Amino acid sequence: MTIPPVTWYRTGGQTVPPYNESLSITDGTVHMWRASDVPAAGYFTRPAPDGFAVEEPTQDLTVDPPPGGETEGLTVGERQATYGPGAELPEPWAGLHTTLLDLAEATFAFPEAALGLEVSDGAARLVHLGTDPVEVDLAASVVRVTLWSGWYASSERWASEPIGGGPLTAGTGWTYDLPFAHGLSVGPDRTLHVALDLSLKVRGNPLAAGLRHSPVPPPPPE
Amino acid sequence: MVAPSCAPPDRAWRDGQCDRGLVDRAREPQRPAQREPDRPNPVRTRSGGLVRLQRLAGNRAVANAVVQRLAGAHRTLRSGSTGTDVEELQAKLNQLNTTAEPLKVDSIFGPLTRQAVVQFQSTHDLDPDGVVGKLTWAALDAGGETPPPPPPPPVLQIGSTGAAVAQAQQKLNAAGSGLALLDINGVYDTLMAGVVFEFQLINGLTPTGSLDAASLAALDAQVPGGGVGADGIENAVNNPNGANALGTQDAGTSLHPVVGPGQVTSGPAVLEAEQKLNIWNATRDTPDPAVAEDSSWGGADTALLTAFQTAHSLPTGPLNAASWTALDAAAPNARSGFEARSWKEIVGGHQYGMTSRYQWALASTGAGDVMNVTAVVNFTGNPPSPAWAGFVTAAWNKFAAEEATTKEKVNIDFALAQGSGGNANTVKVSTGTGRANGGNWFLGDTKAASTVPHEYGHLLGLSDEYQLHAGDYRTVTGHEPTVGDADGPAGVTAAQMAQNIQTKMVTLDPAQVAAVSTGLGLKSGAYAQQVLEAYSALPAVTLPALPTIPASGSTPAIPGRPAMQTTGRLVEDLDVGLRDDATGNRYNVIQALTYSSGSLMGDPGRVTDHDHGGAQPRHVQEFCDHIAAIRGGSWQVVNR
Repeated sequence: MTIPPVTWYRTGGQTVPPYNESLSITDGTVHMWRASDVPAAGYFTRPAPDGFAVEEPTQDLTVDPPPGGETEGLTVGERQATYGPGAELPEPWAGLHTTLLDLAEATFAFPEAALGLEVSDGAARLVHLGTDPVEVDLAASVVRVTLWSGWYASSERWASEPIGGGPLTAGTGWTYDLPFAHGLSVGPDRTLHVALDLSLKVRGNPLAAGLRHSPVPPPPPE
Repeated sequence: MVAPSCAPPDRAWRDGQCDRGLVDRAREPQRPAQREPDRPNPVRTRSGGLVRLQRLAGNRAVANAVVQRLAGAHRTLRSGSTGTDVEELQAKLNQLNTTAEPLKVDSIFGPLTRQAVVQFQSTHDLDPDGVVGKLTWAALDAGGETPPPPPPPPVLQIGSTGAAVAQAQQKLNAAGSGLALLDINGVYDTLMAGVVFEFQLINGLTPTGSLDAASLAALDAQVPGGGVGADGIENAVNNPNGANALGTQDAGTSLHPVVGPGQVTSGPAVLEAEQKLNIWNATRDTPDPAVAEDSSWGGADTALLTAFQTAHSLPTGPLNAASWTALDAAAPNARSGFEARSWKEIVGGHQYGMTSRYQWALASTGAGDVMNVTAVVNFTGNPPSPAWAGFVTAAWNKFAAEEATTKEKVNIDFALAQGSGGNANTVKVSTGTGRANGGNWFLGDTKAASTVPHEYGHLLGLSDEYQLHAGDYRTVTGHEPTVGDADGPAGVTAAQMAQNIQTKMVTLDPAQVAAVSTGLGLKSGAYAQQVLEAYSALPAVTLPALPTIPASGSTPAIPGRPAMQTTGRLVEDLDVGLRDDATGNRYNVIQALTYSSGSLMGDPGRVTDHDHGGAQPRHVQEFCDHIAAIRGGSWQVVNR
């Protein structure tokens, strides 16, 4: 079955940096650019999953985004929808939205030119992902650490000084240790989040990226 | 008789040469060389000039003003003039120049008449030029008494610019006489002169259209606030219309859901209906038995609703929008209510919308009444943070309604409750670290103590207070738009900046637009309004199409738009015409061209004002109004 051209994008909003990312499927290939509120930022590509199919809508759709919300857009063949986060979309748009976001999550495993944020006990580092180089500027970047207790109940915070330095080029095997002397007491019922905003240039495209290590704590008891 | 008042302080007061009026000289056609010095120069306004002023200020005030402006409506006479007014002149000179040979009253302005005029002027502190202009006529009409000195010279007048003008514009708007609403742009133009003229008329001041010290003092006395405080922060100028912090309700929508069989049959909307039906029923000559106020619709409710609809010639059936309107009018004092407010707003030139669902109830406790306001939220995707409800109460539970006479206080308490069903708002809960918006809250949002109370405000129907057009800012905050930066970058006129912005917009590069605006120091305020006005006057240009770029190995997928004509509305053109770039240039330019408050619903991270950070009384005014409707008396929002 032939997949019609499909594009999903998300732009604007109040999240810092603002959303500017997309996923599309053309000729059976998935292309994805992600940059905001993600564990890895840059360019990702993969073949469309086996059996992947989408239902073509018969009508366009426009829903105002909620106050402060980013704009999302979905195009399938000749039909398009624009809406915002939390919109109650009619079918088949609702199903399409869910399908593409699930695909976007799965496509993080196929980096071609990206940087990822890795956090382990006592260390945080940037790692190059994929095969193509990525330019990175950390001069004004600050590592921000948040330690949550329970289900996002309360938090302690730490931030580094600006990292400084000049532009770097990250290629295969490249890693960069980030300042991480947060001194916070991790332990049971604690979940550590790390955030790093930075400027990237991927395949010549400047991207304001917000890398996040944000594991989900154990869910609260019912 | 009052002398003309237009002479600038550094200019000799020369009779017959004071040519002024309320018409912007820069825009006025060339005048004839022998223009009568005292030709009446009616005020031009958007609303019909003197006719409009007469309606507003009354005939006598306008007549007095015109008489003052005409200075007796005499012609200017000089050598060679003839006519009955020359006879009048000669007769008055004979009466007043008692030391000179009487003139022959022959209606001819000859050398002897001129000599007598010069003598009269010399002895009455007038310029002895032999020309009988308005000052000389005024002195003659006054029986030889030296006319009163002209009013103080204007401090601000047509052609003045800057922060002082912008502050005056704020206060003229706030004085609210209604001739026109001025842009806070720091430019004293014809329209402003008309509004000043009207203000002076209404307040018994010499109407000149210029702001002299007395007029400014009257304006300050009438409208407090404005200027910059000792803390360096601009003081707000309140508008007499007050604030309406609620979003603009969608046309044709009702605040109430349809209640009745097959519709909403339980919950706070039903309770409100039951209370209101009982209130109306009690006013009838022969009331039916009251229905139970149990929040559950039953047969007795339907029967009483049918009676209400019949009595009001409404179609019988469910409690729909028309019946709700009649019921609200018949029983405005129910002790509880539920609202489903569908509304829209324009922020940064972009339209947003949502439906806010909330309920309120005035409850009696042992310690007195309390107004409880609750927004129920159906959180989807993930469990909400247990901290969120506390963030709401910490930010919002700080106000009470106070009765003016008894000083009784009723606390207004807000709550965020979890639930589902038709009374609930739906909010998606994400585990990421994004910033909350009206439809999506983030568990990892480290600023949730601020963002969640802000989004809670949206659940109460409150609109944003950042990146607003002047009119929306005025409506939402109840304040005049701020003066801000009135001067702009040195050496760049507003017209030049508007042209430069438009030129750079054609490149579709936000960085180039920023380079000729915010990059030069463009900031929110009066100068930015001048830029908006100058832009609106530019001929439209075509912004090239932004192509839809499919994702590939070299670029992200980017939505496109066709080529477009600029609209004259700069903020909208920036919003639609350009794409965001990585450094937020477009956002920052829009920020500089719009207004934001520093309140909880505003942009406290970027705007410092006396609303800084928190919920404000205007945000809870609706619930104070409900208390007033229920309890009677005069109530206002106060801090607890």
